[in-house]
Amino acid sequence: MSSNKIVLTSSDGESFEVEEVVARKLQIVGHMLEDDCVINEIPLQNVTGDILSMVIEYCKTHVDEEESEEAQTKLKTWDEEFMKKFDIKTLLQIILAANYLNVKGLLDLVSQTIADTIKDYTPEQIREVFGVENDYTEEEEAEVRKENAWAFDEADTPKP
Amino acid sequence: MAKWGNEDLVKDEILQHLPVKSLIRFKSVSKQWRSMIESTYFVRKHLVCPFSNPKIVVGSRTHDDDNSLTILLETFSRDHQGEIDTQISRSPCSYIFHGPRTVGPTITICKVIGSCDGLVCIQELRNRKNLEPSVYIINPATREHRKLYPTQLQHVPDFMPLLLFCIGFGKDIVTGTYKTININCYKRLDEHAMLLKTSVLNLDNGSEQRQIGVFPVSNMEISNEQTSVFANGSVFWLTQRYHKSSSKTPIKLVALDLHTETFSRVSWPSWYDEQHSHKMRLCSLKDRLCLSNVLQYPDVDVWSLKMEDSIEKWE
Repeated sequence: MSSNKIVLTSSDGESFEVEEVVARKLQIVGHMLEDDCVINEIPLQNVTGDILSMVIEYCKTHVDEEESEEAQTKLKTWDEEFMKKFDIKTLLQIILAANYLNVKGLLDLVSQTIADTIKDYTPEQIREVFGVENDYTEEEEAEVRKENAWAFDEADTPKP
Repeated sequence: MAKWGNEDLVKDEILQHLPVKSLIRFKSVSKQWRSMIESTYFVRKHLVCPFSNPKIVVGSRTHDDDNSLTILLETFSRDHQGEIDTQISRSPCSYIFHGPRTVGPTITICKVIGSCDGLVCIQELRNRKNLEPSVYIINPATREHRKLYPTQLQHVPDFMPLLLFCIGFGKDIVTGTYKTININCYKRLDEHAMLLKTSVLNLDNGSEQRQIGVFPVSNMEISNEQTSVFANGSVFWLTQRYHKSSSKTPIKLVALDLHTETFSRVSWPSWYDEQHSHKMRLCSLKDRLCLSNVLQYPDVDVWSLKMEDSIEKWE
């Protein structure tokens, strides 16, 4: 099998040469290749080089997804280790990239990782991490918190 | 900072992986987060997300004072390994319904009518004959609860309204609407004859109630021993064993399709033996109606009803 090479360029001008099978894991690239088969350099406007390199690392590892249980377990372990490398801010950048580049597997993986990280956050922490502006008035916020007071109850959280 | 051009799409991806408790807490983040978490679209999406831990509601007790009703609901859930019953965690939780009560001391007993999509339907039964008992819908995961207004018995000429009770709860799987099934009970003024009419209450638009006709089985008693079971868009229940001049009427299995709102009788599987009918229990497993002989534990056979192209097959 001839392995065609494709160059992916990030928004800040960094270039990555990857095999076509790897590049096709990015569905955005897959669609471009179907439209016109002679492209060998693809500019990706919305992704920076450092984030794109992470996405490519994921795609290289997941390039041939084997059905066997052993291979699946191995991939799962790799996924877990891979996710441990990033802090929440980086994860949020990766999820945006995964969404833009349309890498379904990575999108699911990062969503789950972020959800696990933020599930015990307070609303204040959420606002900070996601850059959300609090548009409640003081009274409104107190009201919403009162309505849902049990969800703030820490003692209730740990399950035996 | 990341560019949040597709912010909503991505947020949606993350939120659907969160447990309910976190979502409830994050309603306080901002108005936009709140409206998103409360949206019907998101709720349905979250519902199909397979991570949620199945819970079994086992019992309810109540406590009562003049101005409120407290329903204590205990839920048992298995741990993630799916270990057997010794591993269950127990989380009792109480729900308080405020509102003026009927005068005089009453003892309230609550009966779980049915459950579907994690919602539990509870009916309050009182020792005093009460024409219109209240029905409550509770969502143990979000701790939201709603009291259904007592439904009115409709007037029927020559008949005296006797009582109304709720016998089933489920979801129309075509439209996604939740419905309760009520039995309206009337007594003929001059004789002892009874008339039973069935009605369906559509919960999406509040008070819409439709009569859907007379219960088709000649023996119209609904079994007291067992509540109805919701599976695959239909509510199933058993009729009561009925003693009349020492002849026993066989117990029947009846189904009501919540979309077409039509009744049908379900035939018993070939192995079914009238002698053992009192040992039979209905349950819903993997959204299919199952019939099992629980009293012969540990040799429990479970038979499930397969419905395809309107053909019923027990296996």
